[in-house]
Amino acid sequence: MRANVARGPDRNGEMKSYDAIVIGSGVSGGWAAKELTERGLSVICLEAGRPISPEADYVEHVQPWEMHFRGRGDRKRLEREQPVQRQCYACDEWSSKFFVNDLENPYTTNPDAPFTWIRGRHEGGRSITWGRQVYRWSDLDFEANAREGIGVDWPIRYADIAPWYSYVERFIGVSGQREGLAQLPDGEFLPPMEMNCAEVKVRDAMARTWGRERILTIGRCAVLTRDHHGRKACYYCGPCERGCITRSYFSSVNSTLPRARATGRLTFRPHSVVAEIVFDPEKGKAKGVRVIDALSHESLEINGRIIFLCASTLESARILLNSKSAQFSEGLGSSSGQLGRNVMDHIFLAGASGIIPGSEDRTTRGDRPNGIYVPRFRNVKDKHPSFVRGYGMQGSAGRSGWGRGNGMEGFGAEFKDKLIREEGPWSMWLGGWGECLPREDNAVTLDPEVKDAWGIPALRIQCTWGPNELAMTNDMQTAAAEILEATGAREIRQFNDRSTPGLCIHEMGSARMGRDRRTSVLNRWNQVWDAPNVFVTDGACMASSGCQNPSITYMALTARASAYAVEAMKRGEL
Amino acid sequence: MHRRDVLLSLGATLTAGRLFGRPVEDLFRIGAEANDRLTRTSPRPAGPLGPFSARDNELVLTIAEHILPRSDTPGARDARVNEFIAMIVDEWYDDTERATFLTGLRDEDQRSRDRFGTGFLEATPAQQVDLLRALDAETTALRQARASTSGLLWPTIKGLTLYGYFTSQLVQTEVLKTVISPGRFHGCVPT
Repeated sequence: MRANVARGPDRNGEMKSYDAIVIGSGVSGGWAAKELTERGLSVICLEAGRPISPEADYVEHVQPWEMHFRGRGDRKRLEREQPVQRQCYACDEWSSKFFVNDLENPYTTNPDAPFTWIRGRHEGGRSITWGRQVYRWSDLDFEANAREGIGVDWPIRYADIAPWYSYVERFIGVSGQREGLAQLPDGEFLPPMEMNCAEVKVRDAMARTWGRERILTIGRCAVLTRDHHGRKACYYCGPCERGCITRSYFSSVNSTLPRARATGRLTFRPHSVVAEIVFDPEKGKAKGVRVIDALSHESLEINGRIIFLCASTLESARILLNSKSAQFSEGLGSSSGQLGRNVMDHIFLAGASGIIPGSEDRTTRGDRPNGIYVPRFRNVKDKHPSFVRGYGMQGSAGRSGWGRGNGMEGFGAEFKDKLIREEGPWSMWLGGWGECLPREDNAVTLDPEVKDAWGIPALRIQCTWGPNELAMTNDMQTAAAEILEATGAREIRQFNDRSTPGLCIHEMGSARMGRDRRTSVLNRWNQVWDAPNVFVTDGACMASSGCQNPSITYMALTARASAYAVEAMKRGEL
Repeated sequence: MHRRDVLLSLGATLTAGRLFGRPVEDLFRIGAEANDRLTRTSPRPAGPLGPFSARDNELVLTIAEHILPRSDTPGARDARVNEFIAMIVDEWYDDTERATFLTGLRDEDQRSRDRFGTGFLEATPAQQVDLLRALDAETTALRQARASTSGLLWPTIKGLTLYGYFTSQLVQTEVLKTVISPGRFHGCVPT
């Protein structure tokens, strides 16, 4: 495709007009940049934050004694500048640089309805710190809204997305075990990682007790178990969220952005905060975006024939809400009244833990960056009396190290030797990740007063759990305990800490796909009904939440929409 | 995404796999080597340090060395845990936490005077151990009664000593021999 360069370079040597503008460089934006450039388009990728250099920024091998606070984090700075972000386990002394400054990036909630909004503003976004779990959806998920009359029906089914799951998995590399389950389709897997002694015991006990109804499988994760497309196999150092110099896990920086750059058609512009999408009322589509340079605070306009909005779920909603025009006074995509609504997250932090007796003479070697998975078993064949949908369980087993000394009685040479030469018993924990139903009153709007450091209105987030999610957490803890009992575990402890909405960092919805422009923001190709050259392919597009970790679905939808967009441009439709 | 978080909240430390499981003879050899090296480079003598007076500093070192004494492996003094603890008390703690820690330390000195007529540092090692055993028993009793131990010197200094010791370069490299890049993962191998 011929690059559309209507105007010459600006004073920074930048073209001001491109075939495509990609907003955001995270999981979705990286995929849009790769697919659109590889399919011949000139693309500018606008990243709100700074560029990332693996050699300078990745810190997975920096040891605790090399850190000023030995890894405990600069507590006072974190409390002052990242009071929200520090709620994420990965926002530690090493990786807090991969999370936003909360003072520069405010948002508001009702005091009695907190929402934890974890964000990364830098090249690669949250793909650097993500949990790397990869689970396909099935028609159990895509058909759920229609079957139960909740929200709107998805405009696609599994058959529409399955080839794109394969396409994405083959590129990013996903390790996992094929299980042949209808509710959790197998993917294009690299060899699975090993389970440890205790996990094998739990798996076998579950097989004896529940057969194929409730199984345990190794986590399916975007970590390479053998060399793949020029990236090296994992060497099991452990803390992926600090980066990976061998590019062994998928992130935009490790994987998609290098491919996009290799085409020679990518312009990557960091420090570019998109304030709004500019709508052309005569043509009935978007003509470009208004950008605020994060460093100079100057405003500039960049034009493109198509726009891929991949700023992350709620940032994308915010940009759409802020894109007000004479025609769409409540924001671009607002004609259905659904823009900003139906925000979801997964509810978690409910489950059980226990001691798995035996194998005291066995241990693990290497730090596996992955756990185990129990695919959804509720409302698959049976019908649960107290809730619809279901949850998957994640967890892992291990033996405790010197940290257990805190809770041990005693001190002295023998105490020390025990901590050095022995390990604690095998313990296992399992927790549910539960589906959240879409509700119109879980909505984001622009705060009328608060603005961010660049003068853009902050989001006001209203999101609470409903009775279905809360009922599910009760079942998570009893079902997890049941599994541990079936294994013969001791000291089983149930927990139910019900995460605040947002904390799972699976926030999605706010610009849902649908079949009808009167009830949805996006069509079946992720196009904004009100502006067909704008595609929203991150989590904002989700019409329901499933219970699976969602990133792979965003990637597949982005690749699918990118292919569609390029074909539509060739047909002269965009 | 939150596996580790949940795990930490349950009080387990999953780094175990890469830190442990070496034959005992190996560990004795490591200990002997470390001892040799340490006798050549003694730790710096305790003076005032950050928020600590010289006496505070020596109290911290003495208590820490009782918790993790030098044996065939280095002790808390060798690993200079007082430097880590001083940094935490100075920079990580807020004013109240710092005052609580320092008061707790000085109270322990006073408890020794009350019981043995001499400060903690001047008491015999056996007397010092007696005092610390009482603290350990007190913490254990509170935990068994599910009562709060927050602000007590003993669980605080024990936790900081363990953390400072086991995250030190000396212990990580010479004792635990942490392998930064194991290469492979094995889920179930002999210890």
